[in-house]
Amino acid sequence: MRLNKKAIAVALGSALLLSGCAGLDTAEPAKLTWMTRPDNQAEADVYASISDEITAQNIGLNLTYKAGNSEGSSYQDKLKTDIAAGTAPDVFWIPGTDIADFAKAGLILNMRDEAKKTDHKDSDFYEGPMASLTVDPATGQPNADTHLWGLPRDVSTFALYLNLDLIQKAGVEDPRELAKAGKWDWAAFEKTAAAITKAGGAGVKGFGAGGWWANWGYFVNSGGGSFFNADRTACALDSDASVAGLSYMKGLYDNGYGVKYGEDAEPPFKAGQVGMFINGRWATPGAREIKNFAWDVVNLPTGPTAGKNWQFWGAYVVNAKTKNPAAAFKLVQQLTSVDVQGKISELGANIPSRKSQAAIDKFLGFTPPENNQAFVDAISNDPVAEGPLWQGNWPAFDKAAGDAVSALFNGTRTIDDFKAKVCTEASGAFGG
Amino acid sequence: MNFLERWQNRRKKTSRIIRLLSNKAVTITPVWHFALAGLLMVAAVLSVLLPSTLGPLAGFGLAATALCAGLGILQVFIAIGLKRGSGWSRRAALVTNILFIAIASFLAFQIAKWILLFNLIGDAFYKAFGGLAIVVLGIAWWVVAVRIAKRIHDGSSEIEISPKAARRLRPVKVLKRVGQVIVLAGILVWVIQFNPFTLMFVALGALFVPNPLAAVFVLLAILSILMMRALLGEIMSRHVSANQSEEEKLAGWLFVAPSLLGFMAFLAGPLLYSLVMSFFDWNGSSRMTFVGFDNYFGTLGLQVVSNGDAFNVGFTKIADIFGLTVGALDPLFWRSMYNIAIFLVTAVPLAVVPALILATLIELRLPGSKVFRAIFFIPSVAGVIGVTLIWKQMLNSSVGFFNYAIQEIFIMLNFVLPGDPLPTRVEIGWLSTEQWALAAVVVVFAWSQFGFNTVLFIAGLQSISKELYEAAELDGANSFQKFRNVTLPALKPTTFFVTATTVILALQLFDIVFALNQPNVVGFPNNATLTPVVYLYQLGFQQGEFGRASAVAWILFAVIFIFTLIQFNRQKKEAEAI
Amino acid sequence: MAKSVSLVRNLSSKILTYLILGVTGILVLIPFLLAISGSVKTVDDVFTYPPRFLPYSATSIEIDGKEAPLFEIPMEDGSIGEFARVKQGVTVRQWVGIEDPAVKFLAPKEQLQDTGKTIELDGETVGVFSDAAGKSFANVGSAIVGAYQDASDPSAPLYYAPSADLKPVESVSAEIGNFGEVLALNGFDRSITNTVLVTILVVSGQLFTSILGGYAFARLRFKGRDSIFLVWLGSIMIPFVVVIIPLFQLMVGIDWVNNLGSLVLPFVFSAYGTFLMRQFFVTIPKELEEAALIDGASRWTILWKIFVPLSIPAIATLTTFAFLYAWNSFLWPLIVIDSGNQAASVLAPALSVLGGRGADSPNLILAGIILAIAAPIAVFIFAQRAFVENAQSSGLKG
Repeated sequence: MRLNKKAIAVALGSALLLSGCAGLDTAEPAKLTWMTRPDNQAEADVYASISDEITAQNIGLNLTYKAGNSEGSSYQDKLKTDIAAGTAPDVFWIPGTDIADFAKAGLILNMRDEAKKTDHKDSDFYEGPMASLTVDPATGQPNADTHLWGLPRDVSTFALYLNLDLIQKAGVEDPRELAKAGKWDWAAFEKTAAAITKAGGAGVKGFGAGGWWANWGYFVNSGGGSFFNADRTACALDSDASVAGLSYMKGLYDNGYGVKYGEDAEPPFKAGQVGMFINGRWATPGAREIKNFAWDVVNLPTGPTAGKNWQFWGAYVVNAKTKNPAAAFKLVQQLTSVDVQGKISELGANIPSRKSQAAIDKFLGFTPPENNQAFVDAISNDPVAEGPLWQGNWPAFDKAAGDAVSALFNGTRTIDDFKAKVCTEASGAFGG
Repeated sequence: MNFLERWQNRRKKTSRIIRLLSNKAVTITPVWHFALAGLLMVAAVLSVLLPSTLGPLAGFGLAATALCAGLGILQVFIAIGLKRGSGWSRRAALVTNILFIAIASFLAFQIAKWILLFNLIGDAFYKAFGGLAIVVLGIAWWVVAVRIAKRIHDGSSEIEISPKAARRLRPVKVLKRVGQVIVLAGILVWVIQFNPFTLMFVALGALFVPNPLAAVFVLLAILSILMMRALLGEIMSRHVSANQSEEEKLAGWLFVAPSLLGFMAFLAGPLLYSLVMSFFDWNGSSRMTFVGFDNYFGTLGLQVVSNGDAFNVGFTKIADIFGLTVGALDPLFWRSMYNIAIFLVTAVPLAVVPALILATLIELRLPGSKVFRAIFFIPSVAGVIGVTLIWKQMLNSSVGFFNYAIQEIFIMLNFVLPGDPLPTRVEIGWLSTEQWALAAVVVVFAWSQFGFNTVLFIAGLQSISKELYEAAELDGANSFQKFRNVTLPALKPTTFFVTATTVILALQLFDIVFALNQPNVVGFPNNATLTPVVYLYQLGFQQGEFGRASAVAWILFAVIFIFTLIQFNRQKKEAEAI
Repeated sequence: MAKSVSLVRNLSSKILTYLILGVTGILVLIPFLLAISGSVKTVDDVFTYPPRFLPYSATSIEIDGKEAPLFEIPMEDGSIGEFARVKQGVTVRQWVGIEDPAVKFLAPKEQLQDTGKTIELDGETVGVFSDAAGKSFANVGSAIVGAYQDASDPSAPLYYAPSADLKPVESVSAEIGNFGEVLALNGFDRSITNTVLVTILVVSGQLFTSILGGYAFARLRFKGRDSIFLVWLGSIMIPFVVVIIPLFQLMVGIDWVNNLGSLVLPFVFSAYGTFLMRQFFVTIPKELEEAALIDGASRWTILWKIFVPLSIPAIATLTTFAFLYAWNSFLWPLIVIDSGNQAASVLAPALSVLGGRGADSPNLILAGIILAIAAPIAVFIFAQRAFVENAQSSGLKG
């Protein structure tokens, strides 16, 4: 009996040691994690499957994909906390406007040296994003020879999502026809919005727009104004052209044509209560679920300056604390390859960031919406690339300008007061 | 031999070891403390020869060496004292052992990376959740059966049941048995799926691989526990001629030790650290300079000038009062204080006054009033984030239910009320406009808090003596007079307490704002819902200004402390009055 | 006479009481009821305006392998026909009768015969077309509409009308599948099991340390006891936010960050719990303990064999308190757990992420909320007394 017990003890002990060989902290080679900010589960699933595919290709990358916090739960802020904690992924996606903020805080790696060792060419991607991604923080100017902060995952642009039923009911001309005839301008937009609001009945609004910078920013840009001066070192929201665009938009809100600025306009649009909804390509998968009314898209109305739609982009960047920069850059390259971009644009949410006709064709073939061309036109017609503020602080600028515009549209501020003070209020963003 | 007996035998065997140790305590424990002294000396020497062994203590090089050496010498004294039978030595030895157990197990925990076990347990728990669900189902089943049985029993005693009741009880017994079977089956399924044995193997294995030092520390900790048992044993007690109160004292310290250590590690330590941090300009990693009270001045700094005069550099205008202009170094902080002040004067009355009225109504004890008490209480248990997200959907200005309901009420009122009709379309921007955003937060807060307060008031009402009411009735008071002249004065302490706790809770407002306000920037629109805690979160976790954030935390603490102090004094006075 | 007056007054005051309680009760319950109903709505239904209380789902039939929703269309004979929408966004012509200008309808050009003739209408020259019956119509414009097929007679010509004008055929039905869908979303199920695990560990840990500490403070006299207890009491009033930054730094320093353990270990110590247990233990008669001591029982045995069984109400109270705290905690997990780390995610932050990610489908957000709040509410219903005691003991005894 006693012997038996000893035998069991020995057996147990050796089993323990054997199973313990694995240990709790097992170190495996070239393990990388990466993360994006998916807008919905379908998108998260595609990224997860891409992650598995790259791992299965056996090119020395063992990947784990993480779906990050969503836009509404402060993805970037949480990311910064995670980087501070030293637990953030090796590679992650951030919006274009945040590149400078992350780079200047030393949170992401300059990958130029890694890139030089590979076949990477900057010219494969659109110029707008690449200009911002190759800035030398010391000078604030692009220097493609020494700096590369990341590679753009995708580009996107705004369109007007139309509720065709409401437009029909209002008895106005189809904006798509107007756009074809070259008559789809600010005046036509206002007329259409007014007619929809009037004909729609209680609660129906002519248009809806999200409560963030790009929405009013389009009217600033297409009015001939801009956020910043030419070298992006000072605020230019108080220029006459900028104010003209905002003043036009304020007029729309004051007349009650729009969903209250700052409210989420998507639920009322989906409830069939909004005639025209300004939103990006990313809203298309959600719009496909609409069954209550017929919808399509059209270009944003042309202002005094033609084109000037946004070229939105976000980039994959490498965590400054990654243990394996070479593998991380390899992953960034894999994630921005023609193949992977094709798969992601099949979701319908993104436009490929590579200048590749094949990818564009794939994108165009994906309907509804019938009028996919609207997006491609906007991208090719002198767009304004969203960009970080290398010689300033984008989040501070965004907050100051956003608050001022919100007060303007909600009627607590006059346009004169705005013009006089907005750039003083935003001066903190430029270190002044 | 059944399982239970075997278990008891084992218990006996272990207690035999302890008894052995206790009997030899006078010889063994000094040896142990000599050994500890040796260990500490080795550590002291190592810290000089191989500074890298110090790890995070490296910055304190010499101090660490001195500490190790000093503690080592102390151990020698303890050992000698134990041999001689000094009561002081026994106490010091116990404290040493407690600390040693804590430190050794912590080191073992860290070296073996046992924290990762939590994730493994999480995995296994996830996979085995089905079993747990069966167990819960079984328990619920059983509880229902027991309740039914109780109802049948009602009126008759446990032992003597009427034959009729006995007959009715028979199926209930079967029900109970089925419940038990379900629970057992659930446990079985759970154990198989959860597989605790694998987890145990992995946990034990991690002690040896990759670093067997963890196992050494565990061994030392176990030894230390045994030594502690020996120190507490009868022999040792007699050796140091300890009396009953000495034993009680030691037991007391022993029982408080876990909480005390936890308190030090996770509350007192961080609290002190936070105080220290508030005097540094620190971004969490690289930059760290002592700045004295600058963080506090930079947060609180105000300057008042008469109209037209310029502020000093760094001050921004925040308000005009009585022809004077006030500027602040940190307008956002003052905005958050202003917001929370507005919030306090609106949300607290809304969460307290209705609670008082409803509690009075419930205490009329009409049939069914307990149901209302339960209903009112639900929002406070449901979890802030969940209920706030529900409210968020309801508060959408154009398609939300809240505005729609207001609109429908207006339409109905238009039939009744004379004069200008109320608007038949309501589009209040609860989430988007500066003037309404805080109001939305107030609504959600008051809605989720008043039920809790109602329950507090009910308790207060129940403690009012019935005689007071009877006396008032004799004086011919009607119910309103009774409420005003008896209930309200008697309820004063409760009212005060409820108000104070609600204020303290409101001062820490964070969750509702975080879940309600979008987009991206918490405190949107135009900082209308920026609260001190939200500001602290932004400073610390968005901008990485840990020094400033700590200063804000301490300022907030001071404010809360004042309220707590007022309440505490008040309670003390009442206690004295009684 | 006086008696009946007082009876009436009594009755009316009773009615008033019930009215106030009832209205408040409804106000409290409405958000929950809306959430429950929203959680079983389809995504179309949740976006309808004006908002409806009950969940409806559109009836549809299958035509050529595609789902076609049914709509109610008034027929000429006054009855209501059911038509299936087969296409949306069709451009058709608007026609007006020439013989009878009151007849107006929508149809594609191909459905009518071009007579080649023209006619002057409101000052414009328009073409004249005739239908199968030989009646003639003028084309007065075009419209983008939906095409509808008679569900009872698929061979009948298509009916054209703007979708917004038609009432869909709907029936009340609950989309239970939403719950399964949200569980599969972004590891939400794992968040639930993690939360349960964390709650179990935190509750049992707090009970253990609080019972030990409470007993010592209540029953064992030792030097420094009262001053320690005072510090203890004081620490209850320290708001958690004050220590949140250094505690986060500590977690980073000892590498516990981003791990379920960091949600458990710092929270198994509770000053409030110790205080609560102490207050209860003080009320237990001393004689019980003294008798056991004389019998040679150790303090440990006395505590677990005598005190704990007598303190079930206090333990239940503390359990509810710790349960709510652990289940609903938000700020700490938000900070200490990485975004996207499903292995260590817990409910409150997961809900917050879901609130952003699921903006396209509020019905799923609501389903997630219902799953998250179901447990505390169910526990509350079962253990109401303990919850109420918890609320009441949170200060009145102190």
